[in-house]
Amino acid sequence: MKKTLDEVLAEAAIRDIQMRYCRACDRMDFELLRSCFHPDATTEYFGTADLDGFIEMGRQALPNFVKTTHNTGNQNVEVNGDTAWAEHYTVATHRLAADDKGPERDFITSVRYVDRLECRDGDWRIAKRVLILDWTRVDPVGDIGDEPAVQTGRRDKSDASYSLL
Amino acid sequence: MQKSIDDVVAEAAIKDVHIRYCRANDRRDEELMRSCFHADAVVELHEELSVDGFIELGRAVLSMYTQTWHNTGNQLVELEGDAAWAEHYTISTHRIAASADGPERDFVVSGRYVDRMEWRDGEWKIARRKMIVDLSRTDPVPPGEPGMGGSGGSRDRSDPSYAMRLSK
Repeated sequence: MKKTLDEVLAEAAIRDIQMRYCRACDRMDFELLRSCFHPDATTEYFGTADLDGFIEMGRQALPNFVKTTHNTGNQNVEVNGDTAWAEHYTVATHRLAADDKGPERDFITSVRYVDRLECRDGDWRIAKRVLILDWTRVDPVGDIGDEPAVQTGRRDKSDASYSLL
Repeated sequence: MQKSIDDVVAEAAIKDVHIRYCRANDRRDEELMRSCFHADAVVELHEELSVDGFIELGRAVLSMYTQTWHNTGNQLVELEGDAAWAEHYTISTHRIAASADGPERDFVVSGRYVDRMEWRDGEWKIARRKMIVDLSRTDPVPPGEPGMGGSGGSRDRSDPSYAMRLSK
């Protein structure tokens, strides 16, 4: 059956949410993170959490890494009226500083986020999100020599991306 | 020339087919895999296969790995009426268990899927698909990595993503 324009528009809005979620993690922008979810949303990552609990978990976990990048590929979206199912493939790379467990290294997690989304008052947001961890790996960083002469990303609102808003 | 709304809607449907194809591999969902192709489609790997032949090959190949992950970036679609050309860039990671041949490792393939898609009976599906391997590599999986625990994911219909799907 042919997709309708309304479905394509809803799918676009739903894909955007995952892009904002990834940006929110990588910039540690917890206001943006909150905006991806309905207030009564639940998450199942390492146990079930409500939205406040989930954001608190992010606040605790993200500073353990020097940098994170959440890069999303596949996005399966199925819209049915005001509800939708989505599955997003994301490679999340977490840079770990040198410590007593080893030299600087990247902890790579290949995860899927599976969502139930709801459109309330014209606003698509996540109502329930489940994290599925498919595989992980630790890659050495190696010596990359001098940093390239471009500005590096920051994990707060001093990141260059904010100045263009 | 400016894209029309109909073009954008068709392109979205065509991109979806390949994303479902990836999911079908990774969840070993043969019904979903079959739904990506017209019944008379031809799939060309090293040789031309029918849809049945391709699914049978996939069953054998996928069972060689402990995990597969087909993750797609670029998707370029060019429409021409009721047919379309599409090219999808996919990095597929195949985890290989430790064996006599070596320790646990990832076989990583950067490939392109090039399609002729056709609109028939109200659906865009693949009529002809070629798989092109641009580069491949085997990456070590160091032992003793800090796992984050089990996730409940699985390569069949017990994967949690199925229970959350909506009935239409």
